[in-house]
Amino acid sequence: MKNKIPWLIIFLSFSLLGLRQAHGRTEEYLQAQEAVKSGNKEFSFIYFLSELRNNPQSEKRQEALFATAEYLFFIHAYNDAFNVLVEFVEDYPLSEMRTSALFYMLKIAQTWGKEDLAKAIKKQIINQKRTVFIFQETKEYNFKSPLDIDHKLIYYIDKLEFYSDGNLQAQIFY
Amino acid sequence: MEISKHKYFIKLKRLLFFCCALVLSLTIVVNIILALYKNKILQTLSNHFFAPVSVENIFYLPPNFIVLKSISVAKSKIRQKILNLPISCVRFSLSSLFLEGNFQITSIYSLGLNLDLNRFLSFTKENFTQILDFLTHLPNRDFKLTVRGIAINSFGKNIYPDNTKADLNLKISGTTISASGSVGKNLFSLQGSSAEKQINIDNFKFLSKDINSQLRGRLNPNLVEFKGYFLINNMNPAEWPGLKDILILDIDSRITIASEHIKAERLNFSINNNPVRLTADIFLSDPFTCNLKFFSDFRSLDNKQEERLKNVALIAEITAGNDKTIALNGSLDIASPEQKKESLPLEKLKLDVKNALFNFKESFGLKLSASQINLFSQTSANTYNINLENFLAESFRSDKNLQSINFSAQLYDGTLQGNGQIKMQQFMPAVSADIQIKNVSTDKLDGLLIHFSKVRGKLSSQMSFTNYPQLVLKGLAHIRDGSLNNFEFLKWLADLFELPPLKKIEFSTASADFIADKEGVEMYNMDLDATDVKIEGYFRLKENDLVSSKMFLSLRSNLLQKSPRFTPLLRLINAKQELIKFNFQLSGNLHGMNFQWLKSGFKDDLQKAIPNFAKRGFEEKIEKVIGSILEE
Repeated sequence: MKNKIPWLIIFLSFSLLGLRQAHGRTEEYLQAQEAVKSGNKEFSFIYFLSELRNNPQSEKRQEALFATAEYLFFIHAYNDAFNVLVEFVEDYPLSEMRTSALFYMLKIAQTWGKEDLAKAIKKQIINQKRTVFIFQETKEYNFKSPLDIDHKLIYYIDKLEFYSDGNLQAQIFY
Repeated sequence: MEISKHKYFIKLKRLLFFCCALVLSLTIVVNIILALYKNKILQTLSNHFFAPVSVENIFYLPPNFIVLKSISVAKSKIRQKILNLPISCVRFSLSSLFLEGNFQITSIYSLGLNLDLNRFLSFTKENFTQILDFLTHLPNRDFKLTVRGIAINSFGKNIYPDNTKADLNLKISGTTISASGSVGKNLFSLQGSSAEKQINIDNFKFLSKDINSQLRGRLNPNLVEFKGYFLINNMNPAEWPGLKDILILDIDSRITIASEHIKAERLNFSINNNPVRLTADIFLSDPFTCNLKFFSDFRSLDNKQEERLKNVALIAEITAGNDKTIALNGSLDIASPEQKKESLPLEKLKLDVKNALFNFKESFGLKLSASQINLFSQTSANTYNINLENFLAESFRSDKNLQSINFSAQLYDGTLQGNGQIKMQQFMPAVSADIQIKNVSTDKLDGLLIHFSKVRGKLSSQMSFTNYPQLVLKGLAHIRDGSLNNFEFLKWLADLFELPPLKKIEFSTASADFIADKEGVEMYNMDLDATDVKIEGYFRLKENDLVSSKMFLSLRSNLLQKSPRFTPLLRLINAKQELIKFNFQLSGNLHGMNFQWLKSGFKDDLQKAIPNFAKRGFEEKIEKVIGSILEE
């Protein structure tokens, strides 16, 4: 009987883990969200990272990847940020956060002074979405990132502006 | 004792006198024999040299020397002197003469050879096989040749202005051959050996201020093979400032010779790290013909890695007649597998030339004609094809480095003519030209621009072209008495508004300025004036297929009234204008363009007439339709 107890604990742990993942949010992800709400971005980053490492099949991997990249970008860890952003852009081509991710990549490429890379990213941003303006002059798309940062994209016929938390981060002209 | 000593001296004197008399007599006799047999000797020499040899005087000098004065070798037919030797001293072997009865030359010393380079090269070319045959069949005997003070002339002038002379030392010892010498300040040396019917060159070195070369290989009457390298300094840094040196490395060749057929089975080398492969079939018969194949993976002569890689293939069939004409059929293929920034998005360029004839008869320059010239190019987005027939050009040198050219050709059912200038700039010809095209049916130009397939009319154009310092083609195109058939944008409007007349718009004139350069391609000042439709605007296609365009479309209201979909809109705004204006802006990727309906009186009126809540639905609906059409 004694020998069966550890196996029972392991079985229950996996069952609970499975139940949590069945609801789409793992413990790490919930903790990350709690940390974001309390304004503790450092802890939220650790939880998001933990989510990525411990639950690679998580339904919230997309958000965790973006949040990790965004945090790394804001602390100027550009090499790591860029690698995570590349992974995000490749894995989630239809994500609403993809254009923002490409803008972060563009900013990093410009910081590195890699013109060719910046041009290639710019091309991807331009090809990301077609816009048609009949009566409107601009089109705005807003969303809140997993790190609780407001993102805004304003499309014009000949340019695209990217704002985060109300600040103009980058713009590209067609 | 005194007396016997005196007698001995008298005897000795007599003996000496006798010997001297004998030698003198022998000398006189031999010289008389030489004089008598001079013609026969010259005939034998002529046979050896494959050309008439003349000698002014032949002297015998005891014990074993023959002095030849004023030897000259001339071209057989026209008796032009190839070389002239004022004085030569030939030493022969007495032992061979007396013991073996064989006249064997052991050394020759010559002074003041005068050589006509052009005739010598021509003579060598004409008798190449015989010369090699002669050299490879020389008996394996020790021999030494020394020539001092060689003056080399070209077209009657000494090629060294400061009268610098050349020297040659050749030594054959058994089967070993060694040679050394100088030409002006340039030094050369050769180490080799003769084998059966073949000369092996172990090392040929040429060293001058600007050239350093080493070759090795073998020669026989039917085969030339050599390997080696040339290092050449940039001798004209002012003209070629970016170029440090020319390095011709890894030379590997095999050339077979059969009568008048020379076949370069391979001539491979790299020039400044650009590999070159060449094969050729040359027929020396009359007319001279050459089938040439040249391949190179060429990047840049100045080792600039940022330059695009160009895979060049040239295949040409050249025939040179005696009437100063060269006929050519061939093709030049240039493929650029790499894309570099700030370069044209050109992936492939192919030039086919049929029945071209270069005529050098005229004293003022060169005349060129070709029955057909086809130019094909391929960019990342499109292919372009243009055919010229009955091409005629006259080229003349208007400056030291400047070649001017006037040309004309038939372009489909119209004509093309122009003039241009070609100037060499750092190994690349800098070309500029003004070109006029007249009365070409536009539908025949669909290979040049696919959109022409939807335009009917007669095109005339005035354009200018230059490829240096940057490639730019610009000009004005004008189409008269034409029609636009199913032009995408108008076809879409026709479908959207159920207005079939827009699918075919007849016009009296349409014109546009255009420019193509490294920034992209642009049509601007576009102006089409038809009875019910007027179109103005510009369309710019930039790097990475980025579009920037504004189109101003005006439709006559009586045309719009034929549209069942448009009539309610006109009623809604109670339009009174004769011309209804639609202004559009296009941007973004060519294959996924963004679209904006720009401000106009009609749009303003419509905006006011449609309630705000309906606008969003209207916009979404039109957006979907436009999106689906732009995707096509």
